[in-house]
Parts: sequence; structure tokens; C-alpha cells
Amino acid sequence: MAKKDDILGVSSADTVIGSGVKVKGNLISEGDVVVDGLMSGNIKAGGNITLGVNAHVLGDVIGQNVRVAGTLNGNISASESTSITETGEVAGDIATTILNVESGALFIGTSKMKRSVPAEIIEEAT
Amino acid sequence: MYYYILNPSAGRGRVNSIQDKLRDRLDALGIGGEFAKTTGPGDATKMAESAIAKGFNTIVAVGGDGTLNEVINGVTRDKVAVGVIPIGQTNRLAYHLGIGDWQQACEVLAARRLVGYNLIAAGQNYFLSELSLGFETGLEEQSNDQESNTLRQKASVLRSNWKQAKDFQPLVCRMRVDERYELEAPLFNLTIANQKFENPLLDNKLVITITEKPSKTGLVSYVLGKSTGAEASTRIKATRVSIDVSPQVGVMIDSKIAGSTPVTVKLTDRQIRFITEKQTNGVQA
Repeated sequence: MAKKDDILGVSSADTVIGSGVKVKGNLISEGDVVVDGLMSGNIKAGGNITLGVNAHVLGDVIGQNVRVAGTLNGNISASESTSITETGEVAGDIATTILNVESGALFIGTSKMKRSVPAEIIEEAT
Repeated sequence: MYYYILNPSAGRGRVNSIQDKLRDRLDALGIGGEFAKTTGPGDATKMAESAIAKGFNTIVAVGGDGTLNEVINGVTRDKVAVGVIPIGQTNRLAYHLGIGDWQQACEVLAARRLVGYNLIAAGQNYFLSELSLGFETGLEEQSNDQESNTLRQKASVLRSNWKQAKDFQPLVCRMRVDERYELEAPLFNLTIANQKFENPLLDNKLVITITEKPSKTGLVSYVLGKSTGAEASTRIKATRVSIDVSPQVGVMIDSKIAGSTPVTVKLTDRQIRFITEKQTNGVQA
């Protein structure tokens, strides 16, 4: 359990949905969210969102950094980064600044990436 | 003006052996007041209500979690402060308020550091600290019927607890959370607490944790009282949850059995000011 916590960040997350749990409806949290169960609905977090290896989510995910190690049928909107791990499967569109798709991951959809502009360039422009 | 409500049966009658020393210490600290002894369940609630009607602005529960919970249910005005002198068998509430023993409690009462906590309602009952249900409530209901004074009795209780734990079939818990989503989970234990009670710097919010049945090793530690048995598999925050469990189970509030499922638990606007040891941005009064 301790090793699983390290990977998923369970101990620090605001909201944790365990692997045997089913959720129907929209999950909203101000902090980090970890989902390792079955979910039908959207997830919106002020912090990071992690879908564990056992997660099956049908819905959209909106957060800061999003990490998918399970299955997601829905769109991702991540203000910072999105990672799909080797066990992750995403069928949906991704809007993010940094995208990381590991070898073995499955991604069916389109990605829209926001380019981050270095501070020096913004200064020069102004 | 301080009003002390003593439960003479708390802590197996411990108050009787310390009450003279207690009164002397309180007088020396300048917070002596009126003392009253309860005679049965529900008395502390009525005494708190009556003391407030008479004009007392500080009600102190001298007992365990049960006594303090009864006092909480009797405090109807938000200008009244509540304190505790822990001498019961279970003193989790006092522990969470940073109070370890009766001597420290007296110093804390004199320092009068106040923190406001929103009460949690479960049906008709209000509570401050914790609601729990599941395997633990089954054990608690049984332990009330079992004597465990001799070594043989203690061993018998342990054997019975171990058998129950081993044979325990997970319950099915269904919850409606903040009218936003529904959740279904296998359940060994469920607890609901106010996160502010754990950390006074946080906002008032319900934290609901669900644990699944631990492994055999975890069960052994759990039955021996050496651990909580398992890490929470699910943790959510909310202001209102409606809980149904099948089969039906008893519900424990502040360490005392108080009803059964289904139950709706919600964070209320009703705030009570507690005299606490914890460092906060609370107001001295």
C-alpha cells in the first residue's frame, strides 16, 4: 500500500477514490484528486489529477497536471501538463501545455498544445 | 462564570478520587465555579441548557467523549464557550483539542484560547469530532455486553474480536455526496470528521474516509489495538452526505452508539467556541 501511495500520491491528495469504488456524477475538488475506481462523470480539480491503473473514467477531466495510468473516455484540459503512462488509455481530445505519452500508452484523439512563452520575450515585446 | 458538569461514572468513577484536588486547582487558577453531577444518560444536555439559561457563559464537561457530546447538544447559544476536563475511558475529543490530562486541562481552561468549530448534524444529534460505522460499531456494541476485567475475560474478548474480524463480510455503502454525485463502495469502516478539528487552520469541512477490510496481518494488528488496520482506500470532502449501508449497521458518534443507518450527515452553521490548547488564529476571550 505504501508503494502504491508513492506512485499515486494518495497520502497528499484531497480526494481519493479507491479501486473498488463506483462514482456517478461530477467530482469537484480544490486540491489534488486520485481516482482508481470506476467513474461516470466529470472531474474538475484545482490541483493535479491522477487516474490510477485500475481507473475507468467516462467523462472529462480538468486540472493542473493530469496523469493517466488507467482508462479515460473523455477530454482532458490540463493547464500545465498531461502524461499518459504505459498502462494508460485515452480516447478523447487533450488541451495542455506539455504532453508526455509513454511507450505502450494508447491515445486516440487530437491534442491542442499551448505554447509557453519565455519571460524575456514577453519583456522585450512590452 | 464557569459551570462544571461532572459525570461520576466516567472513567469508572475516576472523578470521585480527584474532585477535591480538581476544585482546589481550579480555585487557585481563578476559574472556580458551580459544580453539578449527572445522574444518568442525557443529564449533561439538560444541565448545560439550564446553566446557560441561568447566565453561565462557560460550560465545562468533566468526563469522557460521551459527557462532552451531551454538553455540546445542550449548548444552544454561540456566545457560550465549552471546555473539557478529560477523565473518561475514551477522551478522543480532548486529545484533538490538544488536552492530555486533567491537570493540563485546568491550565488550558485558565488560558482560555478559543476556537470556533461548526457542529456536524447526524439526524437529530450534533457532534464535533467523529462519526463512525462498520466493523468498529459492531465491536463496540458487543463490548458493552462483555466484561473484560480479568485476564481470562480479556483473552475471551480478544478471541471473539478476532473471529468477528476474520469472518467479517464487507458491507456495501451507498452515499449521495453534496447532491452532486453518488458513490458505492465496499466497506470495512467509515468515519466522518470535521477537518478543522484535526487542523484548526483549515476550514470547516466534512472528511469522509472509507477503509476496506485489511489483510490478515493488518487484521491482527487491528484486533490487538496496535493500528487502525488499513489505510483509507477512499477519502472525500463534502458538506453533506446521505449514507445507506446494507446490511444495516449501528452508527457511533463521538465514541458512543447513537442510532443506525441510513443517516444523513451535514456540516451546520451552528458554531460552538471551544477552549483549546491548539495554536490557532482564534480569539482570546
